[in-house]
Amino acid sequence: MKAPYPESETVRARPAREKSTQVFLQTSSGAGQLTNILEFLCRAMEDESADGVVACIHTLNEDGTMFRDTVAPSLDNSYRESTNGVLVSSMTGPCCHAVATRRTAVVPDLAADPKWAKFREFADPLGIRSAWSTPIFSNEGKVLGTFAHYYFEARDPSPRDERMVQLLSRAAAVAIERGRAEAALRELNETLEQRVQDETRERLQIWNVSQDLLLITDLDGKYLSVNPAWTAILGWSEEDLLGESYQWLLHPDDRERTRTELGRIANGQKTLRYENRIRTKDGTYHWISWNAAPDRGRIYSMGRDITEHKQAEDKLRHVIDTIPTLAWCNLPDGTNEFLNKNWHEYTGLSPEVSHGWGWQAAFHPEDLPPLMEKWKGMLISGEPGELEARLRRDDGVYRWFLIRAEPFRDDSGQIVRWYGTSTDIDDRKCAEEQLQRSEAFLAEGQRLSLTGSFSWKMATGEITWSEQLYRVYEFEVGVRVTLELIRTRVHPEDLTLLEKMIEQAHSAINDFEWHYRLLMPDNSIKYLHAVAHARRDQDGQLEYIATVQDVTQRRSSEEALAKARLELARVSRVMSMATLTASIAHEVNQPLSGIVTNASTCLRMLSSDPPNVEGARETARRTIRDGNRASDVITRLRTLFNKKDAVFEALDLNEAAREVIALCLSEIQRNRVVLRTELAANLPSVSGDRVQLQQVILNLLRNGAEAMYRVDDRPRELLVSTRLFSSDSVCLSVKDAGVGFEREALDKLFESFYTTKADGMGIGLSISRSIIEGHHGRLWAAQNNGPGAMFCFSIPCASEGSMSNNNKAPVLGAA
Amino acid sequence: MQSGHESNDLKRALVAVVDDDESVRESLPDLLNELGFRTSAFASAEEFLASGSLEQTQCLILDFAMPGMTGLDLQRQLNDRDRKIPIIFITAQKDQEVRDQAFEQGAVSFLFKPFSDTALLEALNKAVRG
Repeated sequence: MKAPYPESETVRARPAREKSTQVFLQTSSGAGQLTNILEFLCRAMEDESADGVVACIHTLNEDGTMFRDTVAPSLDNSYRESTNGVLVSSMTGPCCHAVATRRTAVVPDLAADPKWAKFREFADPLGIRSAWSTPIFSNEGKVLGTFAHYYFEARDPSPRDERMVQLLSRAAAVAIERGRAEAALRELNETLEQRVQDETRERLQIWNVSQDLLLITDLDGKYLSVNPAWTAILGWSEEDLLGESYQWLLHPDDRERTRTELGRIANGQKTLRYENRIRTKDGTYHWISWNAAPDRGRIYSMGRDITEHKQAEDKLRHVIDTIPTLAWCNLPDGTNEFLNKNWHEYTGLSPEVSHGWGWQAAFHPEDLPPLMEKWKGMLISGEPGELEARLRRDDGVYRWFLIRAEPFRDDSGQIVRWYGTSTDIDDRKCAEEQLQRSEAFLAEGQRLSLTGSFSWKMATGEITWSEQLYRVYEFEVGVRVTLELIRTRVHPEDLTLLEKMIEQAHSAINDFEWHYRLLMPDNSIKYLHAVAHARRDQDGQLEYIATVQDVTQRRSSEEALAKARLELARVSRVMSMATLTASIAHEVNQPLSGIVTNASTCLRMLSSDPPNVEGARETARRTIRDGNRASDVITRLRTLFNKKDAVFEALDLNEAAREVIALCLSEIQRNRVVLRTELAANLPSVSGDRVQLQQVILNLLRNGAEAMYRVDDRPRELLVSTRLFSSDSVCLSVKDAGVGFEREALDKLFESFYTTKADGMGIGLSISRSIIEGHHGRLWAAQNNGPGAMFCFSIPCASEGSMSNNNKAPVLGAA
Repeated sequence: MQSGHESNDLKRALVAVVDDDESVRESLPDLLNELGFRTSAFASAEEFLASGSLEQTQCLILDFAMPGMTGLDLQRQLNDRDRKIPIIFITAQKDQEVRDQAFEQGAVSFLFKPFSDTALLEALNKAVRG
C-alpha cells in the first residue's frame, strides 16, 4: 500500500482527476468496498473451482491504456506491484492481449510460446503454467479491466471455470462501474466544497476590509450582522448590536423618515437609497448614506459616512441661503433642481411649486416668453448669459431682476448643471429710467440754450463732453476729447489765453470763467463763454464741471449794440465838446476880437500922417481893457468847473482797486484781456476821496485795456499792482501790453484833448491828473521795456491829524 | 445906441455895425473910420431896424449870435423886405452850418472873430465895390 495523501483542507492542492480516482480507491471507504467486492469475486472463483485455480482482477485507468489496480488475494504482493502501471501496449501478458483484442486470451502453456517470455519472468516464480484473461466490459461496451485466472499446470480451462469467469467478470463490471461513479461524485463534491470555502473566504475578506458600514437585518430591522467598519467608524462591536433594533441608533428626527423608507420594501421596492443620522458609541451622530436591498426576509444594507460632506454641504447651503441674492441651480434640460431660501421667501413659492418648470410662475407673464426663448437658446449654445425680467414678490408686486446663468461642466465637457443668480435691480432700473429722462431733458435744454457741458478730471486728464458741446465744437459725437483736439479748434489768437486757463486750473482749485473764440473749419468764428466749477470727485481727485455757452449770436447783437452805444457816446461827446468849445471860444473870442481890432486901429492911427496919438492911446487903453476881460472869462470858466467838493477819508487803496476791478472785470474779459493783480499786503491807508480815486483807477484800467484792443499777436495782459512808494505814500500802477506811446508824446499825454487813440478822449488823463494833484499826489506815465505803457499815481498815506478835517480840494469835474 | 461918425467925404459909404458886444461896437467903427468908411453902430438887430438908417446903409457888419433876433433872422427879414444890403457876418463861433446858411441867404462874407484888418478890408471891398 502506498501512503495516503495528507488530509489537511487548507494546503491540499487540487488533485488531477486520475490521481483523485486512485486516492478515492485507496483511501475512501468506497474504494475499500470495491477492493473487497473484487477480492470476494476472486475468492468466489477460486473456491468454486475444483482445479486449483488462482483468480485476479486488473482494472484499467480511465482511457484504458494502463493497468492501475490489481486485486489478487491469493498471490504474493509482488505480483500486484509488478502488474501496476503496465501499459496495455507493452503486450507483456495475456491481459494486455485481452484488452487489445477485446476477447478472452487463452494460454494453455506459457512455456510453449516464446512471446510470453517477459510474462514468465514473474509467472514462473509463482508456479503459474497456464493463463486465461477475460475483458471486463462496461454497459457501454468499454473495457474496464480484465478477469484473469491461472493454473499451476499446463492445461485448458474447464467448462465450469469458463462459466464462472463469465459470471464473475460481469459482477466485476458492475462493481467497477459503481466504484468509478462514486469516485467521480466524491470528487465533484470535494471540488464544490473547496469552491464554497474559497468564495466564502473572499467575501469574508471584503466584509472585513470594507470601509463602508455593512449590515444585515431582518425585515423588522433587527441587527443580524455588522462588519468591523461599525467599530472603526461608529465604535460599535457586533456584540453591542446583535439582537438590537435598527431604530435604536437612529437620530430621533430621522426615525419616522427611515421607517417610511424601509416601508417601501413592503410595497415591493427592490432597492432603497436614503440618508439618516446614526449614533456613535460616544453619543455623537454621523450622517450615513444607505443603499439597501431586501432578499428573502433579510435586508442587506451598505452605509457610507457622509458626515464631512454633509457639513460642507450645510455650510455651503448656509452661504447660499444667506447671500443677499436669489440663487438657483438648474439641470441641463432647464428644469429647476434647487432654489435658495431667499428665492422661496421672495416669491412665496414653495420648493414643491417651483420644482421642474414650476419656477416660471414667478415671472411676469410679459417677460416669460422672451425669457424662455433666451433661456432655451442658452441651453442649446451652452454659453453663459444674462437677462432682465420681472419677478413677482409674495405680495404680488413685480420687481426687475438681473438674471445671470453659468454652465458647469464635468471633466468631459458635458454640462451637468446651470448655476445662476437673480439680483434685484428694480431701484437701479427706476433710477436708470429717471436718469435717462433727466438726461433727455438736459440734452434738450442744452440744445435749446446752446449750452454744452464737460467734466475734466485733472489727475487723468480725462475730459467728458455732453453731446451739445460736440455740436458746438462741430466734432463727431463720441470722439475722444483731448486738449490737443480742443487746441485745433480754439482761435489761434486765444491759444495763449487757453494755456493760461489750463495752467490756472492746474495750479489752484478755483471756480473760474473765461471767454474765448473758436475758429471753425469754414473760417467762421464762434464766441464761447465757459464757467467752471472745481470739485472733488468720489476719489478725492480734483475735477472741473463746466458749462460752455455758445454766445456767438448774443455776442453779435451785443457787439452791434456796443457799436451803436460807442457811436452814440462819441457823438454825444463830440456834441458836448462842441458846445463846450463853442462856449469857451465865444467867451474868449469876443474880447480877443476887440483886442485885435483895437490893436489894428491903434497901428493905423500911429502910422497915419500925422499920427493920431490921442486916438492910438485910446485904442491901446481899450486893448488892455479887453485883455483883462479875456482873463476874467478864463477865471470864470475855471470857477464854473470848480464847483464840486471832494470828501476825504482814510481808505484802503487795495480795497478800492478790487471794487473797481469787480465792476469792470467782465467788460475787460469780454475783450479777452487777462487781468492780473499784485496787491501788496499790509498797505497803509491813504487819505482821499474814494469815488474820485476809483474814477482815476477806472480811467487807467480802461485806457490800458483799450490800448490793447488791436493787439492780437501777444497776450492782452493787464497788471494792476500796489506798493509802498515812500515812507509816507502809496503807489498804484496799471501796466498794459498795448500800443504804448512815443517819447515825444509824453509831455502831451496829460493835456486835455490829447489822445493816441483814434476814437479815444484824452480828457480822462488830464482830469485824472487834476484829481491826483488835488490829493497832493502825482500821476505819471512810463514806457515799458517791452510793449505797452505803465501809468502810476502816488498819494500820501493817511495821517492821524489830517483825517479829522474834511479837506476840500478843487476838482475839474467828471470825465 | 447910436454913435455915428460922419466923414468929410459924403460919397463915402455908410457901414452899419450890429453887435451885442460893446467892445466890438467901440473898436470896429474906429477901424472902419481909419479905413475911410462912415459908420453907425447898433447893439441889436431890433435897434438897427428901428433906426431909420436902413436906406442909407450900404453895408452891414452883422454879429451872428445875439440875444433876441439873430444875425440870420435879420438877414431873412431884410430879404423879405426886398432890401438887399450886402452883409458881412462876424462870429466868435466856428459853426460851419450857419455859415453855409448865411451864404445861402446871400451873405457876402463870413469872418470869424478875431479877424485881421486886411480880411475885413477885403470883405468890405467885395461888398461895397464888388
